[in-house]
Amino acid sequence: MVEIIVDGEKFSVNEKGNLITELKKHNIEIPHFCYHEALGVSGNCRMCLIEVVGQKRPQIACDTPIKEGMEIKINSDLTRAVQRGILELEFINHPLDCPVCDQAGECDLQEYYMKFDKQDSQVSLADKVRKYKREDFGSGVIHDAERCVLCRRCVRFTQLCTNSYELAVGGRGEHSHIMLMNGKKIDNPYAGNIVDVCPVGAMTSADFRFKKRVWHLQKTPAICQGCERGCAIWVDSNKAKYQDSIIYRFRPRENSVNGYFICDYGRYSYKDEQIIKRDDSAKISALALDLRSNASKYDILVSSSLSIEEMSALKTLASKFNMGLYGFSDFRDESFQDEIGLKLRVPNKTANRIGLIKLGLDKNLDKKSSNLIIFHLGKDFEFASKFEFDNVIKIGSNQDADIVCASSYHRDGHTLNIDEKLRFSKGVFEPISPKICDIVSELMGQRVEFDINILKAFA
Amino acid sequence: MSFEFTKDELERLDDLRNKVDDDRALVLPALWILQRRQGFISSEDILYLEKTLGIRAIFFAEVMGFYSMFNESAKGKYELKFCKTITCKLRGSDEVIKAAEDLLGIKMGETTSDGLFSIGESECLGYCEKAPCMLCNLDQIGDLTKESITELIDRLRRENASR
Repeated sequence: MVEIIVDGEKFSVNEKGNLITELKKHNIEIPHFCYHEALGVSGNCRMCLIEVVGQKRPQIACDTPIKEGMEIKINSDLTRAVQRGILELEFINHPLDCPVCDQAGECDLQEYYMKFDKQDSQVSLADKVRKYKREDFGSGVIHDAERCVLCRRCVRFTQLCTNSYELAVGGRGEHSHIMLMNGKKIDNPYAGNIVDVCPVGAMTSADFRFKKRVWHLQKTPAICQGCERGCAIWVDSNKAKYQDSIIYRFRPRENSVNGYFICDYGRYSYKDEQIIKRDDSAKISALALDLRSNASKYDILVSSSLSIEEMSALKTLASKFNMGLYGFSDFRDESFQDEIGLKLRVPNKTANRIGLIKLGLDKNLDKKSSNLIIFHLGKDFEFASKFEFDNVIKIGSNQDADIVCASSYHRDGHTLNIDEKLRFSKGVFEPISPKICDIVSELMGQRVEFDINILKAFA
Repeated sequence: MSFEFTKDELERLDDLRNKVDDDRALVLPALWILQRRQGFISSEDILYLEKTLGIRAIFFAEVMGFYSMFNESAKGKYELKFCKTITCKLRGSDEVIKAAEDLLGIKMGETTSDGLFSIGESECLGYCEKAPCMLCNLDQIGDLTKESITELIDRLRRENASR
């Protein structure tokens, strides 16, 4: 750690770090486009030019080595003048279509303009270079070449992160544009991240565009339940007046588990996690009544998609009524695992297989009774057909379920990921259907309390 | 007939490969060889380059897009490139270009139907002391006048007709 002076104030930063990242930790933002923590330094956008005392010219913050006692000025007149100049260049051929741009509200260019620039354009709209406005790049990525600031983040993402090399910069000067080789579309399981790394509205998601303005979205930190990796995500949801809350998209959240990215399977899994409006309270009370009189008729099957809280609640339920309790975690899909690239995807497509094993629930089913109650959160109940019981009661978060419960994004819950790391996912909004813990409470006739010590063993 | 490197050319590229750290340094030399021999570089040729040299096609495509002197489609046997920058303009290159267009019956950026000539423009050739100037394939020709361009085109036509 060394000390540097930023605008007369002393900060202690890591000598080997990057100036932009290090100052971000102290809540100081240096505007930038091309630098990205996961993609490294490119140094082509020049947006991060700052005044370094003792240097003749302004230096780019992303590629300036940190030295003991160096003094930089990020709010000086010179820095402001340079930033205005760079922004003026960026806006020469920019179409200025923020009102219809999906990125508006989370666009770096827009933010920097409001912060530093606020000048009128000196180029008339008629003189601007026109490029493609809507080019389908495949895998849900739509490219708008006019809005591009040519930071090359998307190009470097396909080179460094996915090793698929689909994108490149074609042309030269003002005619430069992001291009595909021979029109070959992007085809990799992480393509959605290209939309996220793009600092401006040049890459927009075919899935999300024109659905919602980003400032109407409420973001909640959560954990992706798509596979065992347990990637950290932001869930963007919105509740319109007199309507139910809707999840609009998942975005990656910076985290040590997944870095800066998530896979497309997880990204688009939000579609199966919307609210289901169905009142099954009569069925629950009927089941509760039946359990109290002849519980031995039932066995319980827990899938590995449930949280630790829910599993332990079911354990309590099973021991109270002396029912058989079994676990099912075979959601393997070998083709899901990726060999090259980011390697975030784990073949088991449920979040809590390790938790199931740790709680001692990974027992194979041996048929004792005639009825089976299956608890499963997630997309489908296909696996339920494997079990040959007279009567299978499916409790889950999708339409096929007999009793609908809150989905894994609508309740707080802990899971253990493939590396036995404890992951906490926060409920995005209050569900309409009861949570599994509430159902268990009703079946038992008393409130199930979760023993927090169970989690301490995994932390 | 698609393009293929000769053994000698491949050896030259391999020699070069040993001298550089990054294989991508071979992109320009490979494209030069290809363009000198064939006159243009099509997208099939780029795929051939990817296969023989093991360098991703997208890098070739990037370089092709950047340098305007790589042709993507067939051009005439003689490629006339007129300097379009200010010195030549002041010294009357417009008149010369007009003369060439009239003589060949084509506009800038086009190729004659016999496949002999194509004309285009180029950035400053660094030959301002002899403005207006142009490139005829790789030869730099300066002090252009209406007469000299007429003479040049006639000569090239005659040379090719006599064969």
